[in-house]
Parts: sequence; structure tokens; C-alpha cells
Amino acid sequence: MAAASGSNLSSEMEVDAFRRLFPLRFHERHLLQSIRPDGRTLGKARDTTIALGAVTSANGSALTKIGCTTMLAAIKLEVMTPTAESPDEGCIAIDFHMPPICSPIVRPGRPAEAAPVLAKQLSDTITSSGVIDLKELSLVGGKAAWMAYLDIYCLDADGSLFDAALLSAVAAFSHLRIPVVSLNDEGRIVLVSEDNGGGKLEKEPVNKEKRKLKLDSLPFSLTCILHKNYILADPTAEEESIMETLVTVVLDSSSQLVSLYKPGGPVPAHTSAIQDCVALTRQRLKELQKILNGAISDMEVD
Amino acid sequence: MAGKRGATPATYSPSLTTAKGKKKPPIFTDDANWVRSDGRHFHQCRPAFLRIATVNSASGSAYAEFGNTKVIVSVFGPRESKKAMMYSDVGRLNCNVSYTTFATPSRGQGSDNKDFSSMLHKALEGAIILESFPKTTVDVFALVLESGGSDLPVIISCASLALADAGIMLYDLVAAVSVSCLGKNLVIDPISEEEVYQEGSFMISCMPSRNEVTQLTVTGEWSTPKISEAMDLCLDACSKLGNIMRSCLKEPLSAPEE
Amino acid sequence: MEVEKELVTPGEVLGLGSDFKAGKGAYFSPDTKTIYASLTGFRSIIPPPIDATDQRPTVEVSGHKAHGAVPEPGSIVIARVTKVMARMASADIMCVGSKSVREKFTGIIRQQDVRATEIDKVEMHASFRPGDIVRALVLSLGDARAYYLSTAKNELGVVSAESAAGGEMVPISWTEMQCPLTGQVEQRKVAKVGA
Repeated sequence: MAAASGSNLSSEMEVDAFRRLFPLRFHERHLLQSIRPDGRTLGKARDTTIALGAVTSANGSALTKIGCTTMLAAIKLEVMTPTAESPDEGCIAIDFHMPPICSPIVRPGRPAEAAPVLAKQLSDTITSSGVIDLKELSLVGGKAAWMAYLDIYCLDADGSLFDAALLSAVAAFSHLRIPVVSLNDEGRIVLVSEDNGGGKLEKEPVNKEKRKLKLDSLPFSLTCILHKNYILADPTAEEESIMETLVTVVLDSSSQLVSLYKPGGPVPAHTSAIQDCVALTRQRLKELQKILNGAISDMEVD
Repeated sequence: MAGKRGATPATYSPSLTTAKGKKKPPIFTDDANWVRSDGRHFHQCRPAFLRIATVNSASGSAYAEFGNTKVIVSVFGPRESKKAMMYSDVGRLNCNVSYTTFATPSRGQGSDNKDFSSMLHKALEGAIILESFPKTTVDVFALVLESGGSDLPVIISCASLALADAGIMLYDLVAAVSVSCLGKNLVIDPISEEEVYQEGSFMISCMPSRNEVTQLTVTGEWSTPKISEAMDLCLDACSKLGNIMRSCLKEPLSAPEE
Repeated sequence: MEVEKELVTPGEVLGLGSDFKAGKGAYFSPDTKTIYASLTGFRSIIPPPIDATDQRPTVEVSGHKAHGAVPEPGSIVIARVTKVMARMASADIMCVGSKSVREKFTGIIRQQDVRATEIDKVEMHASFRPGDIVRALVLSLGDARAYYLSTAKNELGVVSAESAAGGEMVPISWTEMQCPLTGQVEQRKVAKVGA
């Protein structure tokens, strides 16, 4: 009896059943041939799309898809009184949500463990990258400033959630249009309606010129799996569940390193592997910039 | 620092300067000649955009867009019921509806609609052949991306499409439509602004092919003739919506010949 | 494709109860004496067997996207053993027939359902170990907790197991498997291969 029972078993069942029972063996068979189950090469990211202005109830929004992973980011501007320490600065509050629609592992009332971790990572990345100058959010020094609520919803979770979430956040900021407002007699900020912007304005708008944020150096990221000597770019949820060592590299528009996450995992990363991940991210950065610029120019044509 | 919880100061959403002391929106006036803000006739529904299989991680899913009302529904299962559940010879249906924080004009308002989960459950349950998945549970989760009015009927119709997409056996699809009573007029498929000023609301969920009603809600002041008028309007709109839903389901199967 | 088939969705009329019997993806409503579709797919008609007393053809919905595999009494499943106790073993059902399930269903193999003979002498720990892959028959829907599974047939039982040393074990009899790395023999209720 030469054949092991496992291989006998594999010959009699359908491919997806084998994949379910012996996921690691299934994936390693593919890796040996330098191809992944979805037909990608190891270093290739999935098709990516960005649609700006997905929701009209927000001041800026974007829907992004990386493969099946889908994120909806929206920014709502509200008015706050700036703090005494920084009277001429606004604020950004970032939250990341995984509603039950996005994955079979999330149930109502039982939030996904990953959500708060990602929320923190996204918040750290966006604030530390200096992409937004908080002074740009100021309205009336010491009295009023914008609080930008950025909420990112995962609509379909199929791996590389951070990359898709960051991309949607950056795209939503690119889409953000700041409403024209004025300060009324009671000291409250009120909207100046667009249609009677002509003659009969009692109050001068306080932010006539600041309709768009100046975005300095946009951060883009790529997540890779380290498994044995393989590096897999932009993993799917299935790949992430089987091979658990992840490295996420964030670079800004000028290829400068913003942050790097390697949250543990069974494979310790050699510096050379990290360098390979950075190199893959550098390539990916160019792709993502092109896709975002395409989405922005599409919007301006409309 | 930005993004820090607890440190966030109290904020408010700036309102329009014209909102105060100016005339009420024309919706209020009893003038029979007013036009709806989106240009529709009183008895005209918004165009429906429907698509199935939008969430890959789910067993079935659907996206519905009626004007600014945008909803995604995912269906999971039939899958193992929660351990605490009693044994059941028939399948279970579990529903949950939630809103994004930006769905409504002022942040986080959508969480007011806590009753929508149980309303959705009751509207759908009668249409599902529960005997076809004994002991297991089918989960129907809805997320309102943007609230633009008539949210619940859109959620119900969208959920029924998602169930069909998941291959759950159904007696029929469920189509739902609502009507608002505004002064002398009945307006169908109302938008949020119209719902704010409505004196009464009427909603029907029905199985269009079986001609059976799964849910009917009436709130506010209604005269008997108005109710029967609303009923006729809704049933007619449900049957039209049902046809749109059927063509949406058939689309991927009617093989493209290119 | 011979004829253009009619596409139907749940609730669409397939025919009258007097003319047809309801097949899969279809149901008969006693109120309206009508057969309706319950799934999306193609309406198809299957002629009755020649010797059948009921000469009505069956109308069904074919080519539809059915929901994921769910265990049913009588189905053969592949499960991974998760826990072995004195009187039963529990296992996660991963495949029903040749189809994998999207999530998992919990099954239990009770002591009396491990093998067909000498059931009172069954030693659970000498039959299964956690991590083993077993082929089993679904006896019943079981209780609220789990489906009841049986391995009491020659072709049922452990089909794949790893030894303590991590080797893929080879069956050497219907009660024993051997580790190819160490030669160590371990006891199992082994499924007969190719039976």
C-alpha cells in the first residue's frame, strides 16, 4: 500500500472540498508553481476600482474595491469649538466599521475583533502621514473649526482590509467639498445656500476660498503575506486565514515610508523580506495613484 | 490629537440660513398644484436600481437604490443555529437592520429605527419555506448606506432579492411600497422630506404573484376611503416592483449571447 | 440547448396541479391548486416513468443556484474530529457528499454508532483522535447541539490522520494506522479504502 490515505481521499473528492479540508496543502501546491488559486502571480494585487461621491448625505465619499474587498468611506463635516491649546485647528475623527453584512464571521452585537485594531491603525496612519493640515479645517480662530468625521464601512471583507480602507479614506478626502458657511449673530456657523449666494447675503462667508482641502502627500499601502520563502501581495481572506504572517507597508506619494506593521505571526521577517515588501509597495503606489487620479478626473468631467 | 475617542468635543451640523423664519416648504400647503421636489407625480415611484450578488462573502446579497435611498442586504446560511437555541424542525429566520453613521442628515440618527429588524423579520417570514432548512438558521442583515425616505420598504424588497439570490426556497418574492398622506394628497414612495411632513403613513409588503399581503402598517390619521385608495396604489406599485425584481434575478441567467 | 427554456423566479406559476406534479424548486399550493417556482432557474418538465400509476409529468426548476450544502439524514459527510470524550466524539462537518460547506456544522458520533459489532466494547479514545478526518453517515438531525453521525460501516471511519510525530498515517488494518516516520502504530476506527 504505497499511497497514503490522505492522497486517496483527495483523488475522490472535488477540488473545493480538498481546499476546505487541507487548505495549507492546497495553497502550497499552488505556491510551488508560483501561482495562486485565483490565477494571480505572487506579487500581483487584485483589480482595484474607486468611485467618488457614492453617498450624497456626506460632504465627501468614496467606494473602493480591491478584488472583492469593498469599502465605503464618507466624511461628514460638523462644527466644533477648537481647544484652547490649538485655537486655529480643526479635528479629524476616524472610525472603521465591520457591519454584519460584510462577512460570515461578524454577527450583530458581536463585533469583529479586527475592527478596533484597524480603526487605530488607520487613524495613526492618516494623522501621522501629515496628509491633512488641521489648520485648513479652521473657520474662525478660537471660535469655530471643522470636525471631520471619517467613517469607513467594510461592505465585503475578502482580505487586505487595511489597504482598501486606507484607499477609500484617501479617496474620500480627495472628493471632500467644504460647504460655504458664515457666522450668524448668535455665534453659530450656518450654511450659505448655494442658490441665493448673490445679492441679499447678510453675512460674508467665512471660508469663501477653502472649498477643497490641500492634500499634501497621500498615503498608500500594500499588505503582504510572508509564508516560508514566499511573499504574497494583496492576500484574500482565505489566504490570510491560512498563512498568518502579515506585513503592511504604507508609503506616501513620494515613496517615503509612513508606517510599517508586522503584527506578530509565526514567521519572523528577515530584513530582506521587508525590503521586498517595500519594493512591491512602491510598484503598487504607482498603480493606486493612477487609479485615484483617473477617478478624480472622471468626476471633474461630469 | 485627531481621532482620539473621548477627547472629541461636542459638534453640530450647520443648518441653512433660510431654515429659520422663512416660509414652510410647499409640501405643507394644501395646494393641489405643487410639484414634488424631485419632479415626480404623486403616484409615481422613484426609478429602482437593483442588483444581486454584490457581496461575495455572503451566500446571497442584493443592492437597492431608490433615489437617495441606498441599501445593501447580505444573506448567510442556512447555517448552524446558535448553540443556545432550542431544537427546531423548521428553519429559523434572523434579521438585523443597521444604518451607517452618515446615512442621515445629522450623524447617527439611523439608530432610531430599532424596530426595523423585527419589522423586516415579520415581512419576510411568511414568504420563506422554512421547512426546507430544518434546524438551521438563515441570517438576513441589512445596512442602510444612505437614508433617502421609504427606507423600510426598500430594505424589505432588497432582502427578498438577496434571499432569492442565496437560493433560499420562497413561496414568492416580497415587494414593499409605502404611501404618505400629505394634506389632501397621497404620495407614493415618499422621500425623507415628505416623510417628515406626513400626517399618516401606509405600507404594504406583499407577495405579488400570490396576491397575498405579508405585512401592512398604517400610522396616523386615515379615513376609510383614503385607506382603500392607498391600498390600491401600493398593491399596483408592488406588482410593478415585483416585475422589476424578477427581471433583476433573471438577468445573470439569461446567457449573454456575445 | 435544444429548446429555449423558460426562466422563472420564486412565485411564478409553473402549471396546474391537475396537469403536473411539483418537483425540486417547485411547490404545490392547495389553496390555488397551482404549482409555483420556489427558486430561480429554468422551468423543465420530466415525463412520468412508463409504469407509474400517476401519469402526470413533473415540473421542476433546474439550473438554479441552490443554497450551500446542508447535512441531511442519509447523507455522507466528511468531518474533522474536534473532541473525543468517553461516550462520544464531536466533529465539525466540512463536506456534505462531495460539496464543501461554507461554514461548519457540528456533529457527534456516539459510542454506539462507531462500529457495527461489539458496540458495548467500543473505546472512544482508541477510535478517534482530535484532528482526524472521518467519513460518516448522518443518522438524524440530532438535537439542538449537533447532528448525529455514524461510522458503523466498513467504508466509514477515519480516512486521514496525522501521527503524534506529524506524519500522514497509513492504514494497516481496520483498527490500526501506522506512522511512516516512526513506525509507531496507533488505533483508529479506519475506513476501508476503495470499498
